[in-house]
Amino acid sequence: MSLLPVRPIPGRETTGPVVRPGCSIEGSGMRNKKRLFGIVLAISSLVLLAASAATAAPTAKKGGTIVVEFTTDVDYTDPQLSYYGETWKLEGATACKLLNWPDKEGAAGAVATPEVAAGLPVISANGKTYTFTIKPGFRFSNNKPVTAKSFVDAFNRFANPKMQSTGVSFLDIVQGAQAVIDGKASTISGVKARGNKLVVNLTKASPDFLARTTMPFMQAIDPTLAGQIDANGINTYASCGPYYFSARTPNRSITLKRNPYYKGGRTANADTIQVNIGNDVAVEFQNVEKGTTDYASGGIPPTEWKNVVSKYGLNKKDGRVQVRPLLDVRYVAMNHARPLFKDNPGLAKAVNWAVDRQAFSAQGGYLYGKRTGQILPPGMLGYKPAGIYPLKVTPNSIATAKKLAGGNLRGGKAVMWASNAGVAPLQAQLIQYNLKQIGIDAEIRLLPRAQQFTNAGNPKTSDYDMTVERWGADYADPYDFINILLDGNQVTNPQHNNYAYFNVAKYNKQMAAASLLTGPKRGTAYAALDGAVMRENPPWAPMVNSNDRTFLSNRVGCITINEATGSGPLLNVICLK
Amino acid sequence: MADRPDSPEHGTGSIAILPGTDTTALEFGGAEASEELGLASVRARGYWESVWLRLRRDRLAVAGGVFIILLFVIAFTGAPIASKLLGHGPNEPFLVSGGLDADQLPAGPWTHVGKLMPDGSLDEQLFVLGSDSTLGRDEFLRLLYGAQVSLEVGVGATFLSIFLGALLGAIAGFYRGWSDTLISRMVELTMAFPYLLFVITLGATLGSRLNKVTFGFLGEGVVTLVLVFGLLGWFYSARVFRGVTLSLREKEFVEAARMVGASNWRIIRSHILPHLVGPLIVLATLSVAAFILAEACLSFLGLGIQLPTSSWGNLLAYAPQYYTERPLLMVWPGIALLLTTLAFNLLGDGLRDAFDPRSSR
Repeated sequence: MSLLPVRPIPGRETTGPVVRPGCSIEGSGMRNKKRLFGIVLAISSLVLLAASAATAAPTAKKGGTIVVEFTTDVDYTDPQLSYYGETWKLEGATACKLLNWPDKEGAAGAVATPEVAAGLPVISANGKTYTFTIKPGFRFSNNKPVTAKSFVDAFNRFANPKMQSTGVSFLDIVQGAQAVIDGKASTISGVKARGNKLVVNLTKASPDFLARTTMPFMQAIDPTLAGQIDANGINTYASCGPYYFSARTPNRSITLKRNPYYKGGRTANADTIQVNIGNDVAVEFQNVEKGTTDYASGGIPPTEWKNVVSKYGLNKKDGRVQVRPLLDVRYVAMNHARPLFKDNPGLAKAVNWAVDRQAFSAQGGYLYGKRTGQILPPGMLGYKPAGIYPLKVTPNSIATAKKLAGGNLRGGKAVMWASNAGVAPLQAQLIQYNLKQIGIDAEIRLLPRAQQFTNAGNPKTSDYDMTVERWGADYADPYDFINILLDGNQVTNPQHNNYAYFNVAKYNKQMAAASLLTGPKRGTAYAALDGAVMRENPPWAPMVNSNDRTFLSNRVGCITINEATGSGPLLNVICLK
Repeated sequence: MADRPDSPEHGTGSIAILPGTDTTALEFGGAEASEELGLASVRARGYWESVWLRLRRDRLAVAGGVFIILLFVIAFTGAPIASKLLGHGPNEPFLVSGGLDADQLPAGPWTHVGKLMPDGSLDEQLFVLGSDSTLGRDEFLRLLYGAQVSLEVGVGATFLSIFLGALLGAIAGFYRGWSDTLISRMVELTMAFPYLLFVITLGATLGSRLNKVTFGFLGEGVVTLVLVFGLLGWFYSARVFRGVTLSLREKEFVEAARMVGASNWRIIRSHILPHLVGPLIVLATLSVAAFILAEACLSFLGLGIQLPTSSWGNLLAYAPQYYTERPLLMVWPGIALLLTTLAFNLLGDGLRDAFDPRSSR
């Protein structure tokens, strides 16, 4: 997940789908597991097939330096801390994981396949124990071998309370992880290395565990990094993917060099990937046009998308303008822990009727995304169009909003947080205007994006009534949206993602139950939850499912965009003409 | 400085010898001599009249002054009238009915837009300078209302900073000793203070409460900026006034006043402060321009005026997003800012010359 600082409203980015957790892999035997896994892969493929662009494998030219621009710096480059789309783009080139997304487009790239793991894990009959066999040959950029212990170290470092990682909620199912997170143990009892075997014990059968292993948090780390426990993060370290972080000057630049000892099967075309930080999108746009920058990762000015599409065409093979749908949602979270929205579903519904989703989307420019009134994005297991709220403002919708708000305004004062970058301030003003129409006087507070979501996820600093947010899938499963974003059991944690502070016992129970289901039942359960929550007691006003828009220089010779990883061309695959 | 109205050496009678006054006739023996020479009687000119005469000769300064008066009139009376005539407010978006063009870009100048009425019909209205952004708000009205904010901040901050600076500068220069040491160190401390950091801190702590203070007529955020600029901008005027006061307190007319038993307060009030009026006005006009620019800078950085209140700074902040398609969006607030600061600077320069004609331009 990540924030895209360059995008109009920087938000959480996506890392995509995978082993579809909706399909059971806990079974009675290996054959059955393989068969089920096949189903998982097939469903994943079908879901993303529609969204994929048909581009053939590039004819790669090796060497040279690819220049990338970020408008703002990343949060960290440390693998156990970074939780930002831009960093995950870089870590897509530096990390090696148990399972990973192939460097392919379309359906072929949408299936998580074993990378450092020699094959799919052996799963116990009760579905709680996963045994991975580590493939020999992978080496870190300091020539040390990747072993099962490299992953044990990653799990332990991730859970270490001194690291204060915001992603630790993904370890909730790992046996013994909570004890480490709470400072009661130094190592996770449920993660062990036995020779070349990595054994992970879970507290409950979790259909999405394999999907979670594709997140950069759980990449292999070398022993030196394992000993470096620092909440500020480590800037450069040896890694076992095709590239490694060779230099970082915060707020200025990041340099990725080719890992000289990499023996895996992934592509590494350029010798160096140079990331320059700090230019405005307008400057980045000019630099890409001139060819001094190859990829403006933060995007270009919203009004330029239409021009570049008409000038260079859309989604041509290795073309300069590429647009793909993302598994994400941009939304306005309504803080249910504060008086305005606490036990006030009438007002929350009124907001959903009042917000102008069409105008919100228009702020982002051409091909920004698709309007929505639901939690789950199209393409996600469990997504079912519900048509609960209007996607276009009309006099009737405003009248309905006013009627619903009547008597529920509770003073009608609200504090609304938004990012201070890109078009976010414009979108915030639009929502402010919409709210005024139903009697809510909203005060906008603009914050740097990282500060916005960090403070929003901390109960002690979340003094807002509404916050304009974005969430991109960490992996393609409804658990990553419904449970991660709305499970009330996490709202007391010092860092969480339930920015609506939505905590309704009935729904908490239903979410927990849905997370254990597999197959079509899982999809049905999450679809029902999506509809019920939005219809009865909306925690958010969902606005738009956005697209991933990419603009490249004329120096670029080949690209691969894997929709599963969700954000732009794969940096390790980009090659120069 | 020695030749100001209440100085003892102004001569006798009602004729004041002011800097720049033609004294030829007087050298020949005053009024009688003039009559003997067949010249018309010389009417004595007051200090302020002389200043005004000199200022009037400076056409650029007069133009600056006229522009400023017009700006005040346009901002504070013209903006509400224009809003009434056009039928919409500066913060009202026109998204579905002409505020954006077919390419979803801000509408260009002289565009007719439709206002969605409660019955679903569209009421046609005019956008003189087009839309301000993809929110489809009236650029012309936002520019006019932005002028209000700029002037409120500029004038308010100037009053506060000049008041503090004059008071502290006069005390330091007149009393010297420990009060001078204390105030001078305060000046140095303030000069070294990272003011951007202060703005951010204030914004994060008291900002939300201060921004709400409008006294019923100011824009949201104006009070915060006035306080920030005033509290951190007084040092320059304090230094100027301290220097002037240090010089004045040694003058003979002050010694004479002291000799006849005038109290310190009377000396400051009657003999020192009137001499500070000239530099005070000059400094004030230049400060207004500087504070208007500072407001624009802070709003550009997102730290100034609260949204959706319009200011020239935040109009400029959003304009670059459309710089290839709608470059005029950068031009309008840019020109407004340029002309206003130029006008204040020209007036300031003119006043400086009028108050002290010996200074060269």
